[in-house]
Amino acid sequence: MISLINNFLSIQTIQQLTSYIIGIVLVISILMAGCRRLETMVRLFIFQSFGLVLIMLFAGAISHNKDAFLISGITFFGKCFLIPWVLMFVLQKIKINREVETYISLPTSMLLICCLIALVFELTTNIEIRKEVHVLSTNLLSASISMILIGLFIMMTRKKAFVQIMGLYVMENGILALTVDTIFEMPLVVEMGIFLDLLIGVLVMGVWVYRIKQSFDTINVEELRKLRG
Amino acid sequence: MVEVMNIFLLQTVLLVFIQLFLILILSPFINTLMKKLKALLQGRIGPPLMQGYYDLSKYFQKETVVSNQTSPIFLITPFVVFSATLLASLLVPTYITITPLFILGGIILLVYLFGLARFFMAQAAMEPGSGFCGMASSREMMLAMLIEPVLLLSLFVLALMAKSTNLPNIVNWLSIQGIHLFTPTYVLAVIALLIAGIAEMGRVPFDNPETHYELTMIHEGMFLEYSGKLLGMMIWASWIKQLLILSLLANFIFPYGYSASASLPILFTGLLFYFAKVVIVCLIVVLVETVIAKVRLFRVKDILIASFVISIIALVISISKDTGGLGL
Repeated sequence: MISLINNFLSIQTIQQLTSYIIGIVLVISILMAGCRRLETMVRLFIFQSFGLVLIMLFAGAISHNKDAFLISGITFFGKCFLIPWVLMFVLQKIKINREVETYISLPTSMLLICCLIALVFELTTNIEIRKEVHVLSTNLLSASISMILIGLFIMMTRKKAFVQIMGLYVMENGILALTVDTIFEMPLVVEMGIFLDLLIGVLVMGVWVYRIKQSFDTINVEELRKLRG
Repeated sequence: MVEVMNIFLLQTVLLVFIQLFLILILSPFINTLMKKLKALLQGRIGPPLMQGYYDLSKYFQKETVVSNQTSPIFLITPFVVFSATLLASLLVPTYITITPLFILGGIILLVYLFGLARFFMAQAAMEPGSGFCGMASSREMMLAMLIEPVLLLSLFVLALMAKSTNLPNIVNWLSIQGIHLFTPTYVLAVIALLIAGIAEMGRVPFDNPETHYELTMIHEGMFLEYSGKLLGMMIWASWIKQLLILSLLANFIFPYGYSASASLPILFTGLLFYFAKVVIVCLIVVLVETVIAKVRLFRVKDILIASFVISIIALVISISKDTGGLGL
């Protein structure tokens, strides 16, 4: 597989492609924070994960790391098929499609995220992290930290339980990108463990959202206060 | 010294005349072509390709009727709008990379000449006191407020890449890059510019140029009280503006095929290339129009803010120096 990629693509082409994908993944994460339909959010998540898979393959091809292909295969199978499928299934079950309720309006949150990204890029270029850790690309580092922050932002500002789960997944994609950037310094076992965690997580949370919907007729977490008598 | 000045002046005057002739003649045709392409994509026959010229000749033969409640601004506005748009047309590169009046200014002047025209249009629409005109002008100003930052920011990203705000320099720089042109910054900036350009032209996701229902018109709504020759001038000006934005997009998306020397065949191929590029951009815009439905007025800001975000990311990526093992 390594030789396959290295045969077809020169290192310069790989670098160019990777820089494109980083840009696209960043734009997709912002659009995820700004889109109104839940289904679109899941689709954008699929594209984001696919971009990460490609980055992982390229990074593996450059650094000649065999684990990269295993991890990218698992990610491709899990994040482009299994998890979105479960999420879509939950969406069909709870029959809510286009209601995204937020504490901050969507355009404002997109602009705030813009500031966040600019700040992250500014900081990561200035602290010269390269002296501490060997990283593949500082742009990918900034992109992954921004993705973690965007995920956190989505989880903080949304009222619906389903969207908060999506925020968690964006955050996890950011962590994955960070692992790729430090050239797989995270051992394979840990990576597999995280993946298993997510898989069980989506099943449990899917059931959880469905039960909330059944008991309260809504997945708005504000309504959960009704539990207190 | 005097000789050199004279040659320079002569060259500038010649360029000005060619550019004005080209833009004035081509703009009604391109507008009709877009209508025709859209009709064909929707399975209708569409207007004949000369319809733009027929319309204009009709407008200029008709009598002008002006309400007696208006001030002179109403009469001045078509002239201001038309001349501002023509002046802007001398700043946009078409078949050659140099423009006739590049000494005057670059992208900032271009954007604010459109701004001047828009200001007078909105002002004049308030004059006759028609409810629909006032509504259209208030909407147009809201859109303008949202479009301007996106347009300027995406142009500034390209200017930052080329290290000049002069349009000829930017286009020249883009045309000599070859394969290295396609960096993420460039692609994101062009996508943002495409969205802003479609909004500035007042086309479908933002405004429908073909509607004749007063409540939904934005750009057209401001001409409701005009008639005859004045209406003809206003409409021609908006067609010219549309052609200018199309050629700006064409030059940024396909920066190839400019005539390099002044010999006649090379100039001719340059013109041919220019026409082909504009038609391709027309096709892109028309495809977008056919696929996407017009969004609600209060959703327009979401799309424009998304394109603003795209241009900010282009800016951030272009500024940040990548230092890593990959050396991106």
